[in-house]
Amino acid sequence: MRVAERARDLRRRIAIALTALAATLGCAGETGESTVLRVMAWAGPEERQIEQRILDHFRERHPGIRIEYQSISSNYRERLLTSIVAGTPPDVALLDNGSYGAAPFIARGLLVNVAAYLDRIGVDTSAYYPEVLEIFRRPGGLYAFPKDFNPIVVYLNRDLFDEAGVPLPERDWTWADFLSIAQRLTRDVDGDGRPDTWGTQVRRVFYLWQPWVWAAGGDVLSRDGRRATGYLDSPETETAIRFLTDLVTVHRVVPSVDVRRQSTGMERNFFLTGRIGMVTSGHWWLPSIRHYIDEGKVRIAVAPLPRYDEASDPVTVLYAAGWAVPHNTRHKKLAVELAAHLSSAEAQRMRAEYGLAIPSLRAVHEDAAANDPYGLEETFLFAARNGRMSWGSVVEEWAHVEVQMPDILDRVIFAGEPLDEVTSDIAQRIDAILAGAMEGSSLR
Amino acid sequence: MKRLRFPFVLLVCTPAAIFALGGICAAYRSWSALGPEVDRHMAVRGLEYMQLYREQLGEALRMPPERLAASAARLNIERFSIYNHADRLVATFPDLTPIPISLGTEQSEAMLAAARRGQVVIDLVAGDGRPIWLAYVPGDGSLAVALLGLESHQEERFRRATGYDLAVYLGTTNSLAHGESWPDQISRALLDSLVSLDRALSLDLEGERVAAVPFKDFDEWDVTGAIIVRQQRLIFELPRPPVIAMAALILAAALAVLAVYRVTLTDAGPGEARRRTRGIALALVLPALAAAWLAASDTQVSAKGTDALLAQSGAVVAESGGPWAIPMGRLARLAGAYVVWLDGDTLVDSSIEVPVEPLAGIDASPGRVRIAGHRFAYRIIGVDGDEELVLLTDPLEDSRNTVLFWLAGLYALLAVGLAIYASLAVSAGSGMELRETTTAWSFIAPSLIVLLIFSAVPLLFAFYLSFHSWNLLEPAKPFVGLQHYIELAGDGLFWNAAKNTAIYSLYVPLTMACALGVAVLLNRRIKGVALLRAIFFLPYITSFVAISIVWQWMYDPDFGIFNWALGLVGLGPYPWLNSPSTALLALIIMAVWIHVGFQMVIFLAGLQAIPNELYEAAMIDGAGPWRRFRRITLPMLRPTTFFILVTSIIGSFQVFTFVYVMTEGGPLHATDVIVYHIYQNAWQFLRMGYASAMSWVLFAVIFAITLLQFRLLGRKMTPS
Repeated sequence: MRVAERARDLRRRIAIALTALAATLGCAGETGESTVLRVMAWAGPEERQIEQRILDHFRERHPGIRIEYQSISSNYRERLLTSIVAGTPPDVALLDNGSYGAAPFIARGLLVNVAAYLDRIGVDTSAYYPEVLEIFRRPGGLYAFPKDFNPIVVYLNRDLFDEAGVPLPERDWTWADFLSIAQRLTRDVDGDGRPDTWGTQVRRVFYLWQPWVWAAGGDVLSRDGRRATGYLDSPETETAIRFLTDLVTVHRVVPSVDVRRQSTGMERNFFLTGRIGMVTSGHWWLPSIRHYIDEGKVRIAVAPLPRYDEASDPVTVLYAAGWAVPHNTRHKKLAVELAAHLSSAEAQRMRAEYGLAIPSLRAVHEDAAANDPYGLEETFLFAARNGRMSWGSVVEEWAHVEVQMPDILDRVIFAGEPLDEVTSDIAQRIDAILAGAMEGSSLR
Repeated sequence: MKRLRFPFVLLVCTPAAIFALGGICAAYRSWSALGPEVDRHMAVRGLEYMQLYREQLGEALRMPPERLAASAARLNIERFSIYNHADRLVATFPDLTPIPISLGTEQSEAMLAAARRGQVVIDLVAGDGRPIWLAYVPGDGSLAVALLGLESHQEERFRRATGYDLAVYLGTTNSLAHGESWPDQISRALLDSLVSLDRALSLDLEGERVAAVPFKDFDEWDVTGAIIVRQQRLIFELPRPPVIAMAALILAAALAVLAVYRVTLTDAGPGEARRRTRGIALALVLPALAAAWLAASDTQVSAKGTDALLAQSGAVVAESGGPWAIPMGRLARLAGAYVVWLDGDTLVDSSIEVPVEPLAGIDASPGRVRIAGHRFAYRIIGVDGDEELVLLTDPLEDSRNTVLFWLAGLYALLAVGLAIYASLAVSAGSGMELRETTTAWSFIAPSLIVLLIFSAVPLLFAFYLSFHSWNLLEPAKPFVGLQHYIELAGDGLFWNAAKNTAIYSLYVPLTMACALGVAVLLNRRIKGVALLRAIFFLPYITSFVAISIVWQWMYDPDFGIFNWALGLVGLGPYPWLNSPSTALLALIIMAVWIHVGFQMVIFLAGLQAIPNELYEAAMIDGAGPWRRFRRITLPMLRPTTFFILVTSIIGSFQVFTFVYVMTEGGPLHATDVIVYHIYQNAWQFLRMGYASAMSWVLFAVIFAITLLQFRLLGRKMTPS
């Protein structure tokens, strides 16, 4: 009895082991039929729908191919980096010249140089805005197809201007005009001794105050992007920083210094409700405020950033994104074709309807500008012509450098430290970062 | 007896089976030639093989004609012609019949243009279906054209090296001659699917299983052909040493499992169990030794293979006849990896000319060396005076590591299992107790294994990282010793973050006081108490990011609800998050609000565990509410309080989300906490090693604080 029972038990166990073995071997021999292309990007819900429609067009032309669109809202750079380094890259990835800077990816050879394939896939790079194309270009190489871009401009609340009896600024306005308008817009309406409306807003995030530094004739890094001393602490740069901090501490024309890193939509609401008169921002504001304009709730205008003085040129900063192909994609041709499709005129026209950013193809932008019912695109065209690219497109360590910058405003505004001490201190810190005193770069 | 069976399977059989299967898979992938997966893998190897061959051809075609003629036989070049920039014939081999460069068809014209533009070899098919290789030599603008012979040395070599038949089809038509044997036809449909899907396929070709990969042109763009491999039919092949080793170890595992199973089944006392365990351990030694010996001998065989490879490279260099004519591509194929120049004490990669790493320990004889944390086999080839060429390759014996890993894992697991079992047998008072303990261990085994793999392994890896300079983007990850810990000691920002974290953790006692108050108030049967409890608990289960964003609004100095409310009673305005002096306080207030509900629920559970009789007795004795609270409630809640204190303090040291979303550590680093600092270093600055060092310091701090809490309060906190 007992022997028979154990024998049965043994047979059962052998059967289980064989099944497990078969399952393991079965896994190893599995074959899938369709080819999958993965696209990695960051996008809001409406944007995602547009991208899906754009991808559908590609699918129609390539039956048998599946495309997975991954929108990643946080830790984008980290996710992309690890996936490439781990050998499981997306086939197409979005990169920009700001916080998701393409520079380290290009410098480390992590992206496919698409320059060699341009004529084979029929892409004419002269159709792009040259400043935007330049962001992803290196000697002998192009590492992404520009998607779109954003120059930083000044949004004006016309209702508030009218209430305060301030005329809208001209396109060639200066810093002095900016300050005097901000002062006139800062008013105590209800007579409680505290202002209820403000002229403008100062945020500590660097991407918004970079163009002011340029306007004053300064910069934060040397031409080759390898040194901050002599630049970040130059008199011109300090003039710009002083101008911004004075708006807070001396002239008091701003509600509060914004410590937030992410936009919560707060400043937009204060702008729309007529609490703040002038806000610097990019084209990405438009989709979310357009319906307020349509409903007649607010009237707005857009001005380029003011010039430093009458003698100087207008300047702003350009933030652009582009579709790149990681070097270790398994489907190079398909991936490059897809990346090109994603920035094709057809795709850009579909995105232009939503209008989160300015199409990188000049013709598409000019079309959109010609049909713009709000009359705002003219200013963006003007700004695009006077744009410079951010350091994020060329400096490999930019992410590390950029986070040092808010400290300058903090230390001047909150701790009241002398500006020149702060800038020279931070400049030295940045030099140490760029010199590769930090880990990882020490071997280069 | 029956009761034991299931737990026993969990305890020993599951992990043993995992390891045994892992080992089988590893062996299967490395050595066996079964299955489409392996076929496809071999097809990809065939592809790499042909790409290297193409590279060699490209190099050869750029040589002067007389050198090219000398290499022609070796490279399977039947004929070649060289034209100057004006398309005039300057050299031919072996006779005076030139290969025409205008081949007439639209496709070949396009390819010719591509050769002129791309300056590299491309693939083309001559009229009789044979491949033509073109190279455009940029220096003097000449064009070299080669017609390849029908006999393919490469295919023969590949067969010898891998045991696979290799067939190369070029030209996207079913045309290439590759030797007459097999398979003659390749369908248009197959090529089309290779082109459109751009990946390796397994398929049935005339009743045989083969694998195919697309063969692409020089810049990996257009598919210009296919590589197809088929496993050779072997009559009999001796199982190789690792397979025997695996078999021996699996046998050992089976023996051990069976033996332990038998011990568990008997009702023998601990003495008997101990004896049997000893017997099993002894019985295991023999197969284990056999396995170890076989594995070691395989390693030796592989090492000899590597040495032979390196020796062969010397012959290739000698054959080339001069430093300028060394066929790098061929060398690279032999070495499997890198050909670099030794310049002083620095290795210089021949293609990109950047210093790789200062070298130490490389001398004239072939050997093994560790460079940038990776082991290489190397051989130095004296080239010309000072110039030395170094060949670096992955030692073959190292590729055996995967199998050895599984072998070691399996054996270690068995050893641990036996050790645990033996110690159980020793400590158990009776057979019954022994069985029960085994059962208990069996039940926690699955979660224990998961915990070990997903917690202990990353933890230890982080420890390893903390001693290395580990940048995700840098291939070199050198050992730096204690450098990170020393840097940490002098990192003002880290200590600032540590200080902020400590201050932030003050929210714990504050929250506990509030939570206890709320719990006592809500610990009664009144209408709507469940709703109230739910309301208090709500913040804890809301998304922290959502909370952070809403609180940011409420904290706004000019428009926020807090300043508005305080303004009504004549206070403020306060800058809240916008000032270094109040930002951390603002975070603490928010933390209290979030955690009150959670702690309240735990306190409520504690309160309801207090027997009502105690209160009744106290009331009879005339104790008032405060006295009852102080003398009964508080002491009886001690274990609950202790639990909340310890877990919350640990949690407070790990705060991250609020800082990440709300302040990014600012203003003026006033809200920079340790975990945020770790995150920044690891992901923004890509300094994994330094971040790992910080993580370990954080771990040590939390561990010390928790230990201290146990020492100081632990005994007091257990109810008397």
